[in-house]
Amino acid sequence: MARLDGGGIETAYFDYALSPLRDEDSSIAAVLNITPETTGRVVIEQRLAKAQAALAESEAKVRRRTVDLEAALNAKTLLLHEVDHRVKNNLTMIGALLRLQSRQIDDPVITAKLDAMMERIDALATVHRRLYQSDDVTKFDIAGFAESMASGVIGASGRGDIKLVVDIEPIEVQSDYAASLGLILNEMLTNVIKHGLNDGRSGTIKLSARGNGADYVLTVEDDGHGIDLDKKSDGLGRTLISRLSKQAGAKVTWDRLEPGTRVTLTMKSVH
Amino acid sequence: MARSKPLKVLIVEDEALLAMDVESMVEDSGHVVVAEATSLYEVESLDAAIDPDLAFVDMHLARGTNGLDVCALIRKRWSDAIIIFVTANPAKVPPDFAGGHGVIAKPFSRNAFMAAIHYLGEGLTSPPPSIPKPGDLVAAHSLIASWST
Repeated sequence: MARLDGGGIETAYFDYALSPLRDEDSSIAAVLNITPETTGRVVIEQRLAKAQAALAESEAKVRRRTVDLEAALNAKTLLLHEVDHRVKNNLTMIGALLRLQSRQIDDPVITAKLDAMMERIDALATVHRRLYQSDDVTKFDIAGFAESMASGVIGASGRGDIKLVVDIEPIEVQSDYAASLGLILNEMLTNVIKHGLNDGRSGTIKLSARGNGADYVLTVEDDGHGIDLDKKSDGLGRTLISRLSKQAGAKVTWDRLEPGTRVTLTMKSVH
Repeated sequence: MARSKPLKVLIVEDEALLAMDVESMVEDSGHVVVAEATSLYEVESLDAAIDPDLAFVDMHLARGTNGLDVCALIRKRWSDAIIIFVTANPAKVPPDFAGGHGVIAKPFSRNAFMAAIHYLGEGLTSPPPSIPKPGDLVAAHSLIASWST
C-alpha cells in the first residue's frame, strides 16, 4: 500500500533486490537495497491476463455458437434435400401416370394431345432436375437444356438417319425464367424435330446458341420439307409460346428455309 | 421401331408406378422385360436362366436394400449384363458407377428414357449406336469406348 499525497491509499508494487557488498576479506560491509517500483508493469500484466481470460471465454462462446449453427445448417440442408427428393419423386410419378394413360388411348387425336401435355410436364421435370443438379441453383443453362432435349427427341424416334449438329455456348439465365423458357424450348424443339422430319426422309437438325452482345440467340433448324407455319404448334402450344415468352422477356420467330424451318429464340442478356 | 434385336431387360424398382412405366417403355421399344424385382432379396431369388442383357436399377429399394448391392449381385450372377442406375439421387452413384455402366436421373422425360433404350439397344447389338448419346444418359467411358471399335 502507498499513501498518496492527497490522501487515500492505492496498491503499489516493487521489486526488492538485496545484494551484499563485501570487503576484500569477504566479510559483508553493507547491503545494497535496490527497490524499483513496478506498479506500471504489474498493472499492465494484470490487464493483459484479464483480457486474455475474456478472449478465451468469448472464443469458447464462438465455438459453441458455431457448433449450434452447423447443426442447424445441417438440419436445414437435410430438409432441403428431403424436399427436393420428394419433388423429384412426385414429378417422376406424375410423368409415369401420364405416360401410362397415354398408352391406353385408342383415339390418335387425343393421344397426340396427351403426349404433348406429357412432354410439357417432362420439360418442367427436367428443368427442376437440372436446376438442382447444378452447383448454382439461381442460374439455368438453357443451351445445355436444349441440347439434352434435342438429343432426347431425336433418340426417342429411334431413327439413326437424323443427324444432330450442335454448336452452342452456355446461356445462363436466372432460374426464375427457367420453367417458362423450358416450356417454350419444348414447343420449339418438339415441333421442328417431330414435324419437320416426319415424312421419314433423313435430315439434319442444327442447334446453335450464342451470347451475341446484348442478346442471347438460340436457334433450331431442320432441312426437312418445312412445316406449315400456320400449324407449327397446336392451339395451346402457340398460346404458351406467346404468353410465356412475354413473361420471360423473350421473342420466338419462325422462318421458312429452302428447305426446312428455322425457329429462333431471342432474349436480352440481362436475364 | 427398334431395328436391333430384342434385349432381355431386368427392372429393379420398388415404386410400382415407376416399374410399370419403365416396363411399358422397354416394351414400346421392342425389347422384352424378363423379370422385375423390388429388393435385393428378390433379385437373389430370380432364376439364373433369365440372363438379362440390360438392367435398370433404382438406388432406393424395398426392405432396406439398395441399388449398389443389387449391382454387385447382378455382376456376380449375370456378368455380361449392362447395368444402368435410375435414381433421383445420382450423387449417390460413385464415379466408377460401382461396376455398373451408367445413370439416368429421375425425373426423366419419356423422350430421354426411350432415347437411352434405343442407344443402349443399338450399342449392345450392332455397335456403334447410330443415334447420338442422349444427354440425359450418363454412361461409363469404358462402355462407349467398347462400342466405338
